[in-house]
Amino acid sequence: MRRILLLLWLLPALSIAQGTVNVGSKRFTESYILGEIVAGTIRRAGEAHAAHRRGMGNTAIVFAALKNGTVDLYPEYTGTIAFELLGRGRAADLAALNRDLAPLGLGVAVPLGFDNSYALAMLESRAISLGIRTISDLSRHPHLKLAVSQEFLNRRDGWPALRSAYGLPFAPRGLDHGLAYEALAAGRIDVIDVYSTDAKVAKYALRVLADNRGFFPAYEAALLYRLDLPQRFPRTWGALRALEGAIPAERMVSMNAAAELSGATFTAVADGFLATAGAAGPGAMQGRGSLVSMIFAADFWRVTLEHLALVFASLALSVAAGIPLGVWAARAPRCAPWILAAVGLLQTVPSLALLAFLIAAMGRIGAAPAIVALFLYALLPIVRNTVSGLADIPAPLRESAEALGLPGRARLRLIELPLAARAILAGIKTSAVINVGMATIAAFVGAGGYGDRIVAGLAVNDHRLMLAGALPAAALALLIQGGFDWLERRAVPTGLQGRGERTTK
Amino acid sequence: MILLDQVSKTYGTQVALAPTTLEFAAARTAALIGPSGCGKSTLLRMIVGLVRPDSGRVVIETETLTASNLERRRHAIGYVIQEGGLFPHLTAAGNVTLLARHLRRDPGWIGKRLGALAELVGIPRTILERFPGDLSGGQRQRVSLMRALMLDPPVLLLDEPLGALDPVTRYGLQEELKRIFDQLGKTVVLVTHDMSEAAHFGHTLVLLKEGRVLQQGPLADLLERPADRYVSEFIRARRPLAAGA
Repeated sequence: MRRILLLLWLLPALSIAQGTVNVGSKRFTESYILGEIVAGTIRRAGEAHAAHRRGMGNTAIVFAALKNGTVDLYPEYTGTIAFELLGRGRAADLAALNRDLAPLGLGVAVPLGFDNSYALAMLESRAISLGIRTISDLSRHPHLKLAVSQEFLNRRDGWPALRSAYGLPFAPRGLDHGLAYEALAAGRIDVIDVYSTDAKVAKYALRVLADNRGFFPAYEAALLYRLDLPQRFPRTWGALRALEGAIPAERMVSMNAAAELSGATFTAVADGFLATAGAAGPGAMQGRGSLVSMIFAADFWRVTLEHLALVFASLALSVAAGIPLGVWAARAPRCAPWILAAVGLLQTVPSLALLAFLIAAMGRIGAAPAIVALFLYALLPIVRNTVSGLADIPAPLRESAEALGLPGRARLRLIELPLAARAILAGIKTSAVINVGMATIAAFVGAGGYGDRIVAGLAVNDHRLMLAGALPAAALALLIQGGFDWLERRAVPTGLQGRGERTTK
Repeated sequence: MILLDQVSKTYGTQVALAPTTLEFAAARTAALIGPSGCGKSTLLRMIVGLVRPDSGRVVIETETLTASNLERRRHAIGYVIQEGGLFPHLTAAGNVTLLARHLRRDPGWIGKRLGALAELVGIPRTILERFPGDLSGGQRQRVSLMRALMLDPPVLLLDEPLGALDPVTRYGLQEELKRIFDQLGKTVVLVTHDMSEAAHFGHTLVLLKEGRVLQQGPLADLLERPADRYVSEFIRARRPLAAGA
């Protein structure tokens, strides 16, 4: 029997012995597509598996993942590397960048063949009527409303630098990139930041304003990778190098358009590119399909399992820590307010802020910080219900147990916890259901789950894709609630199932 | 057998019990009586250690009650309260045998003891498989008594054990309890506010008022030689009695 178990334990290890290359990507269409192309190239090389950790929250998160090895490579831009990641004051060529990246164990290579620079854009018709051609021209119209992505607003090489280079009088709002185009088209804002290979530039007939003072440096697309990658997977690396120069700018724009405007999946777009090996035209694209097909797409079981793992791993930790904490608070009434306050305080911390803090504190991204965050959030209902469940035990019962001569731990195990079981289980149920919703934020740190689809949907402004993540999450929450109701009927002692006590006659 | 030596208890500014010395003889039944709030329950709970006296000490069979011997001492005390204090998540049998099982007594012995106790208090064994919520008040009190007697303790403490029962059940149980007490020869201290009940059970009566012992002794003493006007008032506030039943 033991030998069989050992073999079962080893089997998964054997299956991944082939090695996996982890590919990262950021939360916008082009990054998703390039990530899929890289992953597809790796798989076709046949030397290793490829795992695409899609849609990570922002540059800082995916770069942190690269540095600690959670991710082996991801598509990046030379301008971002120079300014944001290395903190250089000026742009640099690949050789210079590599000199600076080498001490971190990283390198940049395989320029893909196109530039994707930041630019400012506005509706062509509006630009004509106001006579605006360049960024400098904007200063003549200080009443215009600007909106830029949060990342651009806060990056060193972003808005602050642009404003001082041109002396611009604006105070732009932060607006998610996936929503900006529609807001511009609806006339709610006047100027937005764009990426030069965005599909929607063509769709909405935008004028990209000329960068007359040459502020925006070149953002050549390339692969940022860990230097040990070519040694670990030489054949794979060779296949990746073949991508050099394989994607001209127009091709990137049409791939972006296929995803955003024609509704093709990122994987389909990437497959189309790889199949035609860079030749013209994306080929036949399947649309993303109906909502039902999006829900039950090929990755359905993977994301479901990821989501369940996140929810239950964190719940198990919360139960293991929360019940003892609740017992402590119930036993020591003077400590109780402090314990409850501390646990309650955790609930008020905004989830993304907590995640960011945990990433820094733990030095890693992925499931680990997500589970810790979910664990902290799940504590309050469990602790509070344990305390109230124990406190609600009538004093005569507690005293009878004491007077019987049962020691403290036996009293807890045999009398108090069983009597408080219903309340405690209700607390666990609450935490589990909350965690199902909370776990969607794990997608921001590459931990997968249903949030993956919600984030992707947000990137391309596709409501159905967002629903394809939100609906299963809601269904899971209901299932879990039902599961706990069933568990309650089995776990709560029969004598307490609410058959009601007969009043004394 | 049980000695309360100058014990007192104050809650904030409220004096629950003024310094009091009381002795309870072995194998006799003492009844603590008095109006509400007179301190009789406090006294009883001091014996089982649920209340720690602010001064003085509790001595049971020449051993002073301390935090370290409390658990062991409690195994030698049976404690029955109003409404029984039965744990609702265990069956009646589970309640009765809880401590014995925790102390890992021989299961065979436990089963036999359970049967003997059921016979003593007059409960059919089938009733024992029910949960307390499904028992009548009288049945609950009998089960509670069984639980208190499980380890055959020399001391039995009862705090208004029949207070929640209807008069008919109460009268019947009073008869039975007296028979059981006499049969077992235990040291019994019983708290009650019912004069007739106290007279029925108690070899000695202890009358308290506002935290002080007004008088103690056999019923005849309190009837014929009341130490205080209040003693007569309290006794006469009940239906007429015959002394020493």
